[in-house]
Amino acid sequence: MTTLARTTGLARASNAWHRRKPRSEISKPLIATGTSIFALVFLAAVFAPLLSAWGPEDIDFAAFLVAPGPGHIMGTDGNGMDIWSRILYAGRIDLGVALSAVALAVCVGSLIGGLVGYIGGWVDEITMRLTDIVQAFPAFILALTVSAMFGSGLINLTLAIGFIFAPAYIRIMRGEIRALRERTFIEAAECSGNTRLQILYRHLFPNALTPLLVIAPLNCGWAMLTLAGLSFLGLGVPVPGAEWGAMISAGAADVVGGRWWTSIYPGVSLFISVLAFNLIGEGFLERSEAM
Amino acid sequence: MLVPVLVGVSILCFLLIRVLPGDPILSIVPETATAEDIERTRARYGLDRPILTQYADYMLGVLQGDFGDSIQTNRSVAEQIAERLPRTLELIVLGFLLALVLAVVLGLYSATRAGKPGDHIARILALTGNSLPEFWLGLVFILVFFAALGWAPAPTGRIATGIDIRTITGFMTVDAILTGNGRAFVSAVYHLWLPVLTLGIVVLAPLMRSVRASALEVMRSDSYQCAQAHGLTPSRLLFGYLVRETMVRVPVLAALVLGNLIGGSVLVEFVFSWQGFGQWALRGLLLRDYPVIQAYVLVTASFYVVAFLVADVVQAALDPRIRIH
Repeated sequence: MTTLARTTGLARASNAWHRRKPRSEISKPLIATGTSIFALVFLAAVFAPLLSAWGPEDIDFAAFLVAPGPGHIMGTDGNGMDIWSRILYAGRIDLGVALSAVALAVCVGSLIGGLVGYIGGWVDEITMRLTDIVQAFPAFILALTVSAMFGSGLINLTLAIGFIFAPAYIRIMRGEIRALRERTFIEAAECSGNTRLQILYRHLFPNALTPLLVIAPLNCGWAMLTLAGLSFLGLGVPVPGAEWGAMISAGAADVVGGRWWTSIYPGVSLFISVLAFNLIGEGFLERSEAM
Repeated sequence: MLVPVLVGVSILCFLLIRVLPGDPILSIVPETATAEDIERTRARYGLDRPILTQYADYMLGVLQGDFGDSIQTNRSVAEQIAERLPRTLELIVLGFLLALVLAVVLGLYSATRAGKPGDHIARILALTGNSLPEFWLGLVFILVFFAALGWAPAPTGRIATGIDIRTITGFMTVDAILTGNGRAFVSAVYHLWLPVLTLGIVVLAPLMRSVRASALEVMRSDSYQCAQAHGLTPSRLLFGYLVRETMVRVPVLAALVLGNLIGGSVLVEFVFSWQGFGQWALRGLLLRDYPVIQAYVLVTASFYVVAFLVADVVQAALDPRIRIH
């Protein structure tokens, strides 16, 4: 693994300011498109009650498994629930869980990573070995286990997904802090009599945050896919809760019989939202590489 | 590095599943069982002993290739791994290879046209694939290629019923070739192509991204520009300079992707009723079948660690500057 560190170190050194590449032109449209799609999905979720005639769990007893048409623009599922309104309300859960899980992972991860990176010594050593272990765990199975352990409430799912993402942030934050610690401006801050805490929070943290925030959007998309995957297997949001993965799962059996609308529409919504995050993430990555 | 991580993983897993609410014993004893019966069954599986003793016993067994017996089926876990693992490996290795080939081709295509429409289209396509939930993509493929077009079989397993095939390696396609069974080979490929395509599309993007980035760096390097200035033919430049140097940086990320695949194949297996390693573990997890979960996690983590080891070796083979001491 040392070889990897060495090659990336080399790559970084050669990226010094005097060889700065021109800022990529594609990052702007990527971020703009991603943000617009995200805003659209977000607003649709927030204003769900205004945009749909049915509640997410309302049953239309006159319409079981009807194809899309007037009355139900995206059709209904086997329980007579309106797909369109369920998709809108599901956005609240999917976006909410994904954003809070990643926010949690960023906060906890950067806090722990920053501290151990600054303190160093055996605390650092132990923390790093622990993150090695958690990261060698198959991520999806870890999420399954943790959510099975806590039970499948929304808060528990958020905790479970946050937990599997945190080690990555610990690792990045620690690396950044350790690199920054040697820089002269930190030395200057030490000389002018700042306490260790002040240095950590005023000087190190703000400068180390960028690489974390670059991967955050990608993780949001991933968190959404994880949540939907858990629900698809029946370990996430329980029936009849409106969540995209659970809806796809409920409609999976209809697909073979050609009744596509129950699972295709929720899948498209999930896909579009994840794509939004991935576009933003790709844009961020592009921008950070060009810097 | 390798052994401590695996020991840590085994301890974490051992503890984690024992904290899980739910008792594996309660799911196998009849409803009429008395408290005494339950205790007796628990003792039979050694679950009444202190956790440290249980762990030591288990690890001693693992070192001798004995992963214990499944609480649910009473079958040897090692035997079940031998049966299930090849199914999943066949799926993910083929999916990974498909993604790798596509990533190299698309990544080089993109890099050589950096900033042009072709580059943008290729990247957006890969990003789109990466945003697709694999379980849903699988369903869409089933809808289109099975229900509508009839180009793929029903998503129920690895081979048509009624075809006899002798198991040698457990890899359906390999066994078919080894036994010269043409019909079985065709049927196996027919059943494989949809799930393999699903997995390949989903993991393409990160691989392609790294190929492209690495190719761009090579093209900016002095050595490449020098070769270009000497007027080498485009194909000489491509295969002699660009491809080789580009590939140097791919193995590490490829290992990460492959390592993630083995733990991430559960959903695709589920959609295609593959009955592979992941689905086996999922069932084990739902029924709190401790030995099954432990074995799954250990095997997956080892696979992950070994993938990185292989990546280091491959990288050293590709890059003469790196020597493993």
